[in-house]
Amino acid sequence: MKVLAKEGQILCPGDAIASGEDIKEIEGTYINGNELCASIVSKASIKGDNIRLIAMKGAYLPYEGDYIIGKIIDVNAPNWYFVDINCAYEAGLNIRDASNQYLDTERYGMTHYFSYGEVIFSRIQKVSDTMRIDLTMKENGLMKLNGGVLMPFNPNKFARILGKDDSMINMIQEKTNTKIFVGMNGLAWISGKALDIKKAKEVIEIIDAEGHIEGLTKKIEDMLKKGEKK
Amino acid sequence: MTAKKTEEKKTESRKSYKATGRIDKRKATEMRPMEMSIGFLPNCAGSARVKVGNTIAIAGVYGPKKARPKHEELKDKLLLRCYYDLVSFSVPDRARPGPSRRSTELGMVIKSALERSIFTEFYPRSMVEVFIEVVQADAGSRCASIIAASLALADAGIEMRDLMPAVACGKIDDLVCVDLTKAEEDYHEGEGPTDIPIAYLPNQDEITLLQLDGKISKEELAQAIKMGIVACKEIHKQMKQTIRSKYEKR
Repeated sequence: MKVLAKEGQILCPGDAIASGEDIKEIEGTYINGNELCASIVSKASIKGDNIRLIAMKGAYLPYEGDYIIGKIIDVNAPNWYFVDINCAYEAGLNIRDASNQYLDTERYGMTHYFSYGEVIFSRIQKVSDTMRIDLTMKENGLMKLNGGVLMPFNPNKFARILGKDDSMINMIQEKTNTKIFVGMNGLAWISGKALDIKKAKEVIEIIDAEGHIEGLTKKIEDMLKKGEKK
Repeated sequence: MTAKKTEEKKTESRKSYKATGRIDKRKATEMRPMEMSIGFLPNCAGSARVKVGNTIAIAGVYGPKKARPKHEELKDKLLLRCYYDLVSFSVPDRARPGPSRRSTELGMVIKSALERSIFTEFYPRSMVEVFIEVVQADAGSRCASIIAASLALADAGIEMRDLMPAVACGKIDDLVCVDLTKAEEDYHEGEGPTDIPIAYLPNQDEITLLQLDGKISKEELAQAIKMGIVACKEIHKQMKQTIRSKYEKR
C-alpha cells in the first residue's frame, strides 16, 4: 500500500489517501478503483500504514454500543418510550430494557418512570439495517439525568472533549465545579451552578471549534486557570 | 436594390463572432473570475456562496433529518430535496417571488445531478434539504447553484464521492466557448446562441448534467463538452482550495 496523503492534511471528498491492492475501507473513505478516497471533509492522521480520518463536521450516525444522551419525546405507545437522540432517527426504549428492576406500568403508568422532556443517559443496544434503534438502560452508570442543561456539540469532536483517558472532561469538571455527561451523539449534559455551567459551556464550545488544532489542551488548561475566555 | 439583396449584403459584411471576439474580451476557454466561501450561515448544517462573474448563488443544507412527509421517506436511501429560487431583485425585470415552472425544473435537475455524488445509501429513511437562492443572475445560475450546493453538502459533512463542479459552455454564432454571460446568451445574430450546462464528477470521470438549448453540430458539441470538462477540472481545484483554506487558516 502506498500512502498518498500527508499527516495533518485537510482532505476533501474525492481526495486520494492511499493506493494499492491491499487497501481497506475505513470510516470516512471509499474505494475507487485501486485508490482509497476520502468521502468527507476531514483531517488525515497517518502513522506508518495506519490511517485514520478525523471528520471536521457531520451528523451523528448511530452504531451499536454507543453511549448517548437522549430526550424522551413520546410515551403514548404501550410499553415503548420514544427518544430523540440528536440524529435523523428516533430511538425506542422498551419498558423491559428501561431498568434492572421490574417496572409496574399497569399500576403506576408509563410516565411514572420516564416522562416527556426527561433526559436519559443510555446505550444503543441494536441498530437495524433500516435504522430502527433500540436503547437499553440495563447497565451500571446508565440513568435518568435530573436538572442540568443540555448542550449540543459536533459529534465528531466527542473524543477530543473526553480527552486521553477522560483527562480533558475530568479537568473541566474539576476546574468548573460541574458534573458533565458527554454522549457520543453530540449532546452534553451539564449540571451545577449557573455561572459554572456557563464556564463549562464556553470550554466545550472552544474544543468544538478548535478540536483539530494541536496544543488545545494547553490552551484549555490556561483558560481554566485564569477563569476567563481567551 | 431589392430588400432581399440588401439583407444578403448585410450578411456578407457582418463579421462573425469568432472574428470580432467575445463581448467581454475573454478567450473562448477563459472563465469569468470566481469567488467561493463556505460555512457562513450559522443555522445551516452547511452553507456556501459562489460568485461567477456577476452571478451569485447561495446554498444552505439542512439535515440529515427525519424524512417528512412520512409517506415520501425512502426505506433504503436518503431523500434529497433541492429548492432553487431566483430572488426578486436578481434579474433586471423583477422576478415573481415563489415557486415557478422554471425553479421547479431546475430544482429537479440539480437534485438528480447532486444525487450521483452523494452516498445516499448511508442515510436510509432520512432527508437532506438543499436551499439555493440566486441573489444575482447573469447567466450560468444553475451551474453556480450546483457548485454552491456541492460545497454546502461537503461543509455539512455528508458523505460524498466527489465535489461537483459545473460550467455552462456553448456556441455563440460560430464560436464554441465556455461560461456564457447573459449578453452572450442574448446574441441572436448569425447562428445564434446555444447554451450547454455541464456538471462533471472528475474523480469518477462522469457527466451528471448535460442540457442543450439551441442548435449545434455533432462535432461542435463534442468540442464544447471537451472544453467544459477542462473548465470543470479547474473549478474543482478551486472548490478544494476553498474547503482547505477554511480549516488551514485557523
